[in-house]
Amino acid sequence: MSFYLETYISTYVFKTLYLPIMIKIVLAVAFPLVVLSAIPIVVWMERRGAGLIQDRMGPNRSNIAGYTFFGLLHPINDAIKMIMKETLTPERAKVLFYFLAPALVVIPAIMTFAVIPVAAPVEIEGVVIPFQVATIDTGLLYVLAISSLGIYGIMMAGWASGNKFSMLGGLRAASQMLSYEMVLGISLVTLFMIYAEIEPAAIVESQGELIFGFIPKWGIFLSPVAFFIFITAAFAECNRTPFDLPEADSEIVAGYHLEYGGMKFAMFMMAEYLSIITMSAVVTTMFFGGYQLPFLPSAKLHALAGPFISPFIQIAAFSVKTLFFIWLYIWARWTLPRFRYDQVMKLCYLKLFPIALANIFITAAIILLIS
Amino acid sequence: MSNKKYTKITDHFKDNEFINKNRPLTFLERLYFIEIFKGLAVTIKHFLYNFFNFSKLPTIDYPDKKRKIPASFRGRHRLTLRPDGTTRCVACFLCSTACPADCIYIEAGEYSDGNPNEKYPLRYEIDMLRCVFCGLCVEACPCDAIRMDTGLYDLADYSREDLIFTKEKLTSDYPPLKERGGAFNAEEFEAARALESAGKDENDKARKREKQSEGDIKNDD
Repeated sequence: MSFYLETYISTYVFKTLYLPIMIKIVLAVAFPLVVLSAIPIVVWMERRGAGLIQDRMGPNRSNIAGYTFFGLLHPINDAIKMIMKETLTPERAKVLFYFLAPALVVIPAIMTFAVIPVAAPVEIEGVVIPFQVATIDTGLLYVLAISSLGIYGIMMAGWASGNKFSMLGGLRAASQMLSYEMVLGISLVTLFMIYAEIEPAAIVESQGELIFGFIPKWGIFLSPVAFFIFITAAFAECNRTPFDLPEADSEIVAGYHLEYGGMKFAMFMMAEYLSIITMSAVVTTMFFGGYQLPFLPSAKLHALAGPFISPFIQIAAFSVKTLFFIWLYIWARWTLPRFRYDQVMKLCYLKLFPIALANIFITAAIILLIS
Repeated sequence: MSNKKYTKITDHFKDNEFINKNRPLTFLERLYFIEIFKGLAVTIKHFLYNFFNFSKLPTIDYPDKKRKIPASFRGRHRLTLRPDGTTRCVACFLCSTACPADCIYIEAGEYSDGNPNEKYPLRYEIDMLRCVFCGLCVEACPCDAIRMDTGLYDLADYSREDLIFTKEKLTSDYPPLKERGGAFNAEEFEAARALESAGKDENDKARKREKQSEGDIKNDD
């Protein structure tokens, strides 16, 4: 029996057809699980970070037999509480859409991560293991397309709740996210032109090179303007401070998730943190060299550390960079006050949009001159 | 003329650097870009300082650790007892008269056994839900029968009835000694006072530390 299995495993058909599919399935299961389990850690970072920034201790009461684990148990407690809560449906809610909305917010937020490469593909005994769920030609366009699908969930939540504050929150979220979606896309066009690629893995590979022999060929060094525009738009996309108008407590209570309680509310929170993680991953991939270590492109790393260890090093590098941007989200939240709504729109259409367009033309001119 | 007087006062404060004058923003400030980084610098300074000096945070982990309260702190009342175990209270109603919150209820009774004090309270109840802890009852008492030196302030309970403190509660060790960290009789009171005078140095030290930490984070607004 084992003899047959061994011969089958070594066959060409298995190695080229079935094994890659199995690897993809494993990745497709592992990626969402890892990203989802990162949410409690991000929540913990946010709470403890907020505490320390504001000269407080942050949550530290939850414990198991007296051990608080630095407050890491609070998200678990929250999850238990949220799951155990009673399901309430507002009287005026449109029930189908009211229940559908949280799912429609969470699913795109998880799906976006599919095209992000977390390490360079390695070849072990003739089998290529890619550390990317989907290698598709549309690449980052897929990220933009899917992340904008999240707006439907938010609009649906705002409208189906049957509450005026929710409605206003949903409207604000929709207009803000649609506007900044455009800026987000346009700021990325610069990088597409520079790398002449839109597939994330290929872009990250070319970011392993150097400019002038000493600067890593990262997006931030090639086009800092695009980076700052992108990160501003990314903050607005995630409805985070200073652009958290859809959830402006002082004006519209909690915005689109006002009428949601229990696990449905938790799903909105999850979606928020998921989109933070995804956006941080996209920023890392596009502007900070993704999984590339500075001055140590993946080809060199493979030669140095071998195909078994180097993916772990690259995953660690990717995680550290992504964690920094997640921290930037948290850091900015406790630093910057909320914008007024007209300021948000003016910033988008009268400032960021023209700058992003000008950036495209200038970059195009420079590329033309160099080539 | 009167206006001139006011302008003179504002003139006096004109050069005071602590007054935040309303001035138009400079171009760089209106650009907002650099100001973001300045703001981020302020918050990260706080974060890093608190991260590496976590024990210096002014927060007290309340139910686990309690702040040492001074001996003169007006806490939950107690009825003092004579050496023979009877209450010092002679039911003169001066405390309930003095009480601004009208929370003391007394029912007087007479000693029938020839006790020279003649009167005693049959019922002596303080409604802790109404009490404002002003201490006027203590000042009004001619017999030193009521004191507020227990040092108890966490008087939460599950029902309103339990918060109407009866004579039994006011003359007994309630809530039990190990849970309350206050003083109940003279010896405990002295011990608490000794602790307090020792704690004074600690409090001073804590205050100094706070000042120091404020000095360390100078640039924040």
